[in-house]
Amino acid sequence: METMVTEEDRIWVRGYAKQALSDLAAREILVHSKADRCHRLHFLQMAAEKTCKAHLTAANGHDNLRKSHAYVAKVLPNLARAFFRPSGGGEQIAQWELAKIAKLALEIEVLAPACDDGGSRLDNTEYPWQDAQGRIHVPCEHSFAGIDDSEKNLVRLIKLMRMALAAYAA
Amino acid sequence: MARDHFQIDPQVRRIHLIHSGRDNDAEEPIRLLEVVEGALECGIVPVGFAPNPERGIAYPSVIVEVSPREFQAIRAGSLPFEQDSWTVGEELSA
Repeated sequence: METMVTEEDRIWVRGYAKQALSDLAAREILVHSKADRCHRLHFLQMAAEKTCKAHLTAANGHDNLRKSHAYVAKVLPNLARAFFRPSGGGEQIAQWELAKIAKLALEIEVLAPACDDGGSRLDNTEYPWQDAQGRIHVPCEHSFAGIDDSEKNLVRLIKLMRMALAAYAA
Repeated sequence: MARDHFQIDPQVRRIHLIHSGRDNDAEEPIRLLEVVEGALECGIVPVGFAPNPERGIAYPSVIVEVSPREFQAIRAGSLPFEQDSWTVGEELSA
């Protein structure tokens, strides 16, 4: 069944997109001001979540948006399929590129405290957590070694998000 | 870092330094302009990174990834950097 997207939905889409662009700009400020890694990742996670919400709202309307943080792992790869238009003539995103985005998207999703992958991923960028051995971990002291946000991966992802957001914020 | 990027991404065609006019300032990040075959064409998107000593990167950096066509446009002056002071510097080899 086709979903009717209203003018109010389109205002929501622009709202999510503009706020996601602002989150990405905040990430850049945090990088240059030497903020702890948890804060840089926190703004990346928020930008990714709102990018996905803009994408879903554009397709299904705001009323059908789930009240959840668990969007990024599923939706970012879909967004990549929809927006990735490689220069030089390729029509589709390469499978290896999609696999990288999917892996990074899952790691970004579990950075939100509400997304703990069934209790197995308590590490998050906002609140201290206690591991199975009773040790308490603090985000600003945590290395987040599991997320591979090395230069090449992250540049591609941020460019992809910005491309989608530019379309949705217009 | 440039050598690393050539190695991990076979689509990288060339890498240039971006000069800012404040290159001697120790607080300034290292800026790389990377020309990548098949890169998404969405203009100039500088992405900043903090130092990462575990990966041997002791300084902050900024990466700008563009397609070969965008690189030609930068060279021709039709795709300018947002920051007036930025200029394309020397090419780094693999």
